[in-house]
Amino acid sequence: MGKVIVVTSGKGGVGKTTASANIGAGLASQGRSVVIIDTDIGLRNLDLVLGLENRIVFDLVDVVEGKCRSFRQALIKDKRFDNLFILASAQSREKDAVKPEQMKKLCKELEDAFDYIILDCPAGIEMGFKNAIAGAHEAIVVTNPEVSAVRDADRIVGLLEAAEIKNIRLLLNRVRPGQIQKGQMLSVEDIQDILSIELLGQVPEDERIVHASNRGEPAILDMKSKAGNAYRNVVARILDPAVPVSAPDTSIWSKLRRVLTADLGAQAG
Amino acid sequence: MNTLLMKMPLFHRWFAPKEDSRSAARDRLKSALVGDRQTVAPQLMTCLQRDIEECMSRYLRADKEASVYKMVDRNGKMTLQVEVPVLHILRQGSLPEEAMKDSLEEESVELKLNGRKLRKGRSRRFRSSESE
Repeated sequence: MGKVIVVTSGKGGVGKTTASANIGAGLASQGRSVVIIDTDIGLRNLDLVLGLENRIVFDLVDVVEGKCRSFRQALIKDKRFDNLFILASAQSREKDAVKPEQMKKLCKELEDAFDYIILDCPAGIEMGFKNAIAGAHEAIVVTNPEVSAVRDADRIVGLLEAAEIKNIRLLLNRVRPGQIQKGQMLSVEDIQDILSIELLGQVPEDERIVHASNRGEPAILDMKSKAGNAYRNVVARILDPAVPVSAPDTSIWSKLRRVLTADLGAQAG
Repeated sequence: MNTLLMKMPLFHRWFAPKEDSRSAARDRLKSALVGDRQTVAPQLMTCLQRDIEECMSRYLRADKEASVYKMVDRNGKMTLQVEVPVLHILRQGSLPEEAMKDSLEEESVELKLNGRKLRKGRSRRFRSSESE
């Protein structure tokens, strides 16, 4: 039976869709069968990030309304992996076009056909959020090291716990190790202390993420990308929780700089 | 020249005053979340007060009407402030037995040890009776 994982955040723009696309592609690259569902009705995006925007015939609303024979007809196969599919959201409908019971039913059907069902949740805590979490077993809460994003993540964790979703893990995105070191950014430890949920992974800020989404290619396939590297660790941890979280800042130059500045800091202090 | 030097990472570290906004973010977030979680659970203070009163009733009689329970900001740290006028403390016979002990910690450790010894002793006795 497949695992249904919702990727959510509360705040918009923290990287939910990017995370969903990369985690989905990463799991597929490890031989798992995966479907990613864009549940943001009216604001379709996942297809564009994965470069599949020209292949959409049916969408999520068509499936729940029974406009296509089965969900299989609406699934779009990825260009890179035969075992990765997406279900696009409806662009011209309202959030209430889908009901939580319908999502639950769809997730149940998909569980039998796939190893992983990733739900890309819309921002906010209204209908779209309620739909996205209705059929989920697990949750990945995406946040950034900013007060507003962390505060919203706390609210989301509360709502997920109230919905009795047991396995809730934190994905800290857009981490800037240099800025944390200077004392200008919340650290991973700070955020874990505040939210007190298990850390799934930390993804550094990386220009190559934009570069990847420009081309419709997930960054996880970009071996030069620091964020892609971090997502490979996240995927490894989803498959095996015993894998440790990798720290984002591991280049030789940054290690050297860290050692140097730590010594100088100690001398100056 | 000075500004050029300041742009170099090492000189920057030596001479520039450290701008720390991380701890401000941490402290502000923490106290904002205390407020948030309280708003989300409007009955939190009522339930907390009820449970504290229930616990206190094992030791004393409090003036519930005149009691004050509130969350206050103390130098940026959220603090639960409880002020309870005590009408009287319960008499020896009504208090929990432990409350009369000279030192609670040592006693309870000893009690635990005794418990373990007792249990071990009993099982040994049991085994010996089996062998007999």
